[in-house]
Amino acid sequence: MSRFILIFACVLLLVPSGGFAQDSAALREQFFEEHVRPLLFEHCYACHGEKKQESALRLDSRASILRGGDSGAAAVVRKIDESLIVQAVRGEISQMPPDNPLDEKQIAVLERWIAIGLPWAAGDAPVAPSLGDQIAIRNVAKSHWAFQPVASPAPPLDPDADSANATASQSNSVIDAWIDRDLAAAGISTAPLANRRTLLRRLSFDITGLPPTAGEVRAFENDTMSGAVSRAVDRLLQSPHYGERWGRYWLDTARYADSQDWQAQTDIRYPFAYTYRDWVIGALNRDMPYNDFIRYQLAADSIESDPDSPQLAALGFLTVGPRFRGNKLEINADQIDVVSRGLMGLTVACARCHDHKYDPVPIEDYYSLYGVFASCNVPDEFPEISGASVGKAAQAGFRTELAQAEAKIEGYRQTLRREAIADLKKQIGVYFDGYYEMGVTGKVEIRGAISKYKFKETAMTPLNDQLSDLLRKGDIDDAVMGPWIQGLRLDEAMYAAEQSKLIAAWTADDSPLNPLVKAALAAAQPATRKSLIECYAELFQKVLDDPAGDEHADVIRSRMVDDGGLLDLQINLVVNASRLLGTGRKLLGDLDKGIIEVFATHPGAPPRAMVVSDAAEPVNPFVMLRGEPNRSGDRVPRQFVSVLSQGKPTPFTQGSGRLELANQIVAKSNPLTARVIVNRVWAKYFGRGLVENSDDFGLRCPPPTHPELLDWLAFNFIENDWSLKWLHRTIVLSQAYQRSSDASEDAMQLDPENRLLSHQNRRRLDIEAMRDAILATSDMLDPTFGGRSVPLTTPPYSQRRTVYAYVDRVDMDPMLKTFDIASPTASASERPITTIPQQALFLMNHPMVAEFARQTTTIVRRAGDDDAAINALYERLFQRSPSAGELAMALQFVSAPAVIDDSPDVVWRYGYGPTDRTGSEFTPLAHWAGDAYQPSDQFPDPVLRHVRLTAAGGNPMPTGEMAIIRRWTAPASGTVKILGKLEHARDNGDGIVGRVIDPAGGVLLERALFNGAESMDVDAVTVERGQTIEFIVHCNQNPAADQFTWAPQLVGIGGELDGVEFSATRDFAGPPPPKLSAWEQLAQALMLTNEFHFLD
Amino acid sequence: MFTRRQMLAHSGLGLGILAAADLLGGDANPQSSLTVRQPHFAPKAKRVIHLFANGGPSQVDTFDPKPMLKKMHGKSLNAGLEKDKRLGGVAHASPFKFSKHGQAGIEISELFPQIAKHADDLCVVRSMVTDVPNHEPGLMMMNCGDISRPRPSVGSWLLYGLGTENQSLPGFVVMCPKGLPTAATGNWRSAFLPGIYQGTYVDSQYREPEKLVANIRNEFLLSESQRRQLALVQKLNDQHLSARGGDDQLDARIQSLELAFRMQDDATTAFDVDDEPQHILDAYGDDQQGRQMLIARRLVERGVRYVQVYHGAGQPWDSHAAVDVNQKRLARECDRAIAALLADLKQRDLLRDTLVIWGGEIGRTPTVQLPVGPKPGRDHHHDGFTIWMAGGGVKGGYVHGATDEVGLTAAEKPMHVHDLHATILHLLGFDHERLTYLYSGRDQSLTDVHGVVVNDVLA
Repeated sequence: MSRFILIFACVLLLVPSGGFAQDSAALREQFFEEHVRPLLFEHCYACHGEKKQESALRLDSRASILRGGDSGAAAVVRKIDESLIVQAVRGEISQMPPDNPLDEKQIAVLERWIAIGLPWAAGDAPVAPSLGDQIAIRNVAKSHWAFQPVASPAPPLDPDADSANATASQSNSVIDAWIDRDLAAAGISTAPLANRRTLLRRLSFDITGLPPTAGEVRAFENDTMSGAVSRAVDRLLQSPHYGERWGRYWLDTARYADSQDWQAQTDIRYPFAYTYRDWVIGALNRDMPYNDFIRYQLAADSIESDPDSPQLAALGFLTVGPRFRGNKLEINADQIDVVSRGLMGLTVACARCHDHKYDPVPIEDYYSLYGVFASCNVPDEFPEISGASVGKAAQAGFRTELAQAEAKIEGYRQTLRREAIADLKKQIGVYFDGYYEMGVTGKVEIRGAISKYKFKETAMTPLNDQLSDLLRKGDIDDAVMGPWIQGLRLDEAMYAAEQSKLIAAWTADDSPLNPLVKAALAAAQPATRKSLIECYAELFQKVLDDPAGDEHADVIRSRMVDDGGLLDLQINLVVNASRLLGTGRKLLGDLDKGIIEVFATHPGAPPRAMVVSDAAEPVNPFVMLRGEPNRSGDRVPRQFVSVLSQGKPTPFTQGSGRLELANQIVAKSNPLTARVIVNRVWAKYFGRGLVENSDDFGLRCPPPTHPELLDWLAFNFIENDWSLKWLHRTIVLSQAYQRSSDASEDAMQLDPENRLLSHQNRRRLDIEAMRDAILATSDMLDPTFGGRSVPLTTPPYSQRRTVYAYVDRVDMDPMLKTFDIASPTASASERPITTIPQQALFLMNHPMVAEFARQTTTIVRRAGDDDAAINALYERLFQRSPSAGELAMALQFVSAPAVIDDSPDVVWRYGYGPTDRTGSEFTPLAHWAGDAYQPSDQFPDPVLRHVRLTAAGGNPMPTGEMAIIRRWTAPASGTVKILGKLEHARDNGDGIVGRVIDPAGGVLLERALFNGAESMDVDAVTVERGQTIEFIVHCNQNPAADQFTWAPQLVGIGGELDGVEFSATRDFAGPPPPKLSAWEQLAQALMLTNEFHFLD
Repeated sequence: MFTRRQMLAHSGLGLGILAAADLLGGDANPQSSLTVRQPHFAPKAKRVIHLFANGGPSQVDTFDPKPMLKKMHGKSLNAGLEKDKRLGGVAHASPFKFSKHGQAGIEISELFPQIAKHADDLCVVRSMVTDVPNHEPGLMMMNCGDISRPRPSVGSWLLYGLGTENQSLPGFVVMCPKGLPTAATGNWRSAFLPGIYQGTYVDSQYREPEKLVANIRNEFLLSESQRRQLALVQKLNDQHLSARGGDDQLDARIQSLELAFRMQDDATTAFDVDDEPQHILDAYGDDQQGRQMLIARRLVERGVRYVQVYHGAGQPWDSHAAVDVNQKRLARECDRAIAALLADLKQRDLLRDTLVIWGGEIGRTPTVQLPVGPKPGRDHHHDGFTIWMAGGGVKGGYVHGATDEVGLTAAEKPMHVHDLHATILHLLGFDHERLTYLYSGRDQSLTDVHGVVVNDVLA
């Protein structure tokens, strides 16, 4: 009441000219201008104005106030108490403004303003579409180019229309009609067509990702019949390498990887991601219509009826993404992003927390799509698919190994359960105490209970579940558990009040209870729930401990241990409980990894499809305000995004709605899908799209450089049955594509960015084309199609195409990372192009490149003399002959005197020889096993058995006449002291003998050892540069159990060696690779040139 | 007037003589270059060294003394906590003594006797708050400002914003000995920023520079041979370029080859601690921690923008059991090296504009972890933990914020990780709301819609 009085008092003070009923609009506006606007400005706009819209609320226009924010309309006209703004300034809901509450007078102004109908200054221009103002945004979107229906513009081909231009437009391609028209209008002349060699190089790399052979170039150069280009294009598009090339680009869009993102204790590999990759490549090679291509990737399970159809692999599109440590909301967000941005260039993921700030995508749209993906499950086991040829033997081997890994897990699970039950039987009372605190009083949770009682979580958690179930669903008249149920269903106070009555009933003569239970209760007279439980515990323990009880005891025992009994713990509950602590999680995780290991590596593993399937009950989503799952807004149907739905979207009705969603995406009426893909394909051929931003066609995306051309391509792409090969063919047969990349002067002046395409853009090979070209030009390329992914830069180096590289989300291959492959964190249709010295370092110094250079050299040297070899090198790498100057330069390079190798000698060598070291016989251990030198790649060696030297020890020869030798060669003259300890730690066999040998072959020190350790220090030895000190070990009579450790150190104490240290362990390394010959250097040099790396 | 290309031609091959600063600007897109850029306003700090005590050190055992825990030792802090699986254990007093250090009298435990000598340079924040008490999300939040979405790391944002001053070294270097920290490469990812802004990981267990920097040494060519080989490459590249009348992309790649050749020496030197005089080696200690701190100094000295140093692979500070023994061991491993780094930076007048940050991704409970074993430990805690900063424009000898009397919650001036990020960006000259990158339809930023610059910690 007082509040109202106050309001009127204020109003009278503020507006002296009579009552509001007959106020003119002007007066009310004046009230707004003088009192309300300043107040809003000072106290509200910092957070709810043009710059910021906390809780999606904006208070700087009448419309935005009425529309409100996350919590609803900020004000309701003339309804003070229903207006949230008033409740907020009063502090009835969250206090606003949060720091300086308004005073009573200010609150009264707001209330009055609402009471008089929220007047606003009439002259105010409506605020410019503010961030997130969906009504305004939608108005703008109505005229945004990308949302217009795809038109079918007539190309400006009529030669009569402008005969003056006829020569300028000499082409017959529709594409060129538009491009040349614009160039002519801009007064820019077109570059001539590229020469045949350049063109074929361009076409081959662009379509198949591989260089042409020199022979193909020659044939093309000599093909003077008309249609030569068209024939070459057809040949390239029919090559299966086309699918490998363009499939990899699609994998960028699909944020493909062979592993999930990082997760603790998890084998993150996706063993079957490759089936999706292969499906993509195959579908492109078959020229599957693009609309089907998308339908399959979203809903192959609804299209195919065979449960093992190979087409199911298409669903990998939805499942090869990151897993966000199992966070389903994030997984769905990623799927929404890959579908909306990846397929349509629409950034729906932006509308997860609030309406899109720039584009016509209200938050409801996000949750409509969310409903679709939230209604899908990834099955625990992916289905096998048919069509792959895995040998029978391999399959059998796989099944055996898998069964072994599964048996291990099953064994572990059974053991867990057996041990849990055994512990329960041993001390049921302690567990019942635990149940009392966890399940009855709820005072502690499991961790606290374990601390207190030291029992097994694997027993306590499932028991707690069983007992809780019993309490909820159990029969109160049960002869054994009845009193337990009756008692524990009461709270402590009620139990106290009822207990005497209850006990009387339980123990009455006519009580139907099990006599043992009755007797126990009668003896215990349990006055509390705790003592009731203890009474049971005592009785049960007695029954469990004494197998020879009477028939009543048998009944009780059976209620505990028989099937469905209290102690018949469900194995899944036991195993789940074992995950509580880190050790249990690790044990289980390691066993799980064992299974994935078999799937991921066994050659006989049948391929599986990484599918999703619809949940039994689809989710009817609600909007999550600010993206928070516990702040639910309105329910929304599963349906398509509104701006692309011509009026009102129709709710999906078939399961999750994935197929309906796919059909909407590829509907002819959808203005985005065809435009987006046409633009992306175009962008790969020209280095830039007709639309610059190929991932975002929203309002902030500038219009296409050639809008009619984009539409013509999109329209006819659909008309040609969504044929991607038609699209490729149409683009590359244009003169625009075939032009030289040399820009004319006027083009450089008038169109320096070449937006009008007067010439081709020079482009650097991407990583796939670059690596594959090196392989192809050296005859190393392994053309095998499909299959498991391969590691790229670990030896032995794979010779598969780069598209088959294993893409690890967490530990990305250094080559992929360095050369700008698309990041698999999210869908991407453009790759960054960087030029950084790390790329050059890789090509200069990585051993893989050296190996490729060696291989190339071997091949070209077969061509004949030096001139022929250089010619062959040029033909392979550049598909042309060297010029006379180039030939001379190369000849000079390979015939220059070799650079003198004055690098220090190899200090440590590893080998064996006669135990008597007065001779110099020394046979190196020829094979480097990564951590040891050994006689061959077999270990144990068929002849020399376990002979080897590691960083810190080794194994001697099988006879005492021969010794294993770690030889140190002095890199300079001086005196060294020797430190070290020889250890033999085996209690069988007959021990070993170790010696330090001086440069003359004399024994400086000798120790015989059996299961013990001895110092091998020598105070001082003086050596000349190049002299050796050897550390040798030999066996006694028995060549068994002779493994030793001995890692000598040498410290320079005089001469040139003073202060220099050598350590067997620190210096231990594989053998240095042989140096490249001058020819090999030449091959590598040509691989480093710009001519190799760029397409003109 | 020479073009750069002509200048190269006139310098013979120009190997190793070009000024580095503008070499990598060759890309048409300025958003993916590493050239030096100016921030929004004059910065206090030009570079950052982030010492990551990964795993979560216990604040009440290190920089946040809680005498009340002594009184409460063995008792329940609060009946309401009993059901909380992380906080439900009884209070556990620190086994370590705290004393006051420096003129400011900051209380630091005996775990860090050497760092304590720098108390007057430290700005200790005792009221850090993050979203989730777990390692992966904690690391993601501390490094990338979001607990689960793939977002760029702080170092990536700074490299994007500032470029780097030494083009022959990676601008953002991450060291972690013997493997990757929890959450692995996600900690230094560039996410939607171009890949050149991601951190370069270095396994700092090694001493030899060629094992520290990828492809820095050529094993199959003598240096002289490689020089000859590159001379040939560049001669061919020159001809190729002039036949095409010039092209920025071709030019950029030619220069990157030159740079790469030089990097082989420069980066090798930068990572070679054996270059240091004996007294410096002694001060840092000739062990893993000492070496990686020393490398950190050598890198910032050479203009590397952001250096992150993890204590070790996985989450070494994660002391769920034997919190006393473990923290003592961990502190002993790094105390001398960190103190030496601070002293060394100061002595070289680098501390002034180098921001040093120490801390974990979460803290630990003041209570004992359940189930209690024979060696009590502390569980994860996210609502009130400690980090400290030094140099780079922060207030030295200052303690910011406080937890309540038992160290359960940040009671005064809580500072969320978003606030820390806003403050770091501020120190480096950025308005955190304006350092943005357009991606997926939005102007993305490190702090997203959060974060307030904490003016109290600014010098």
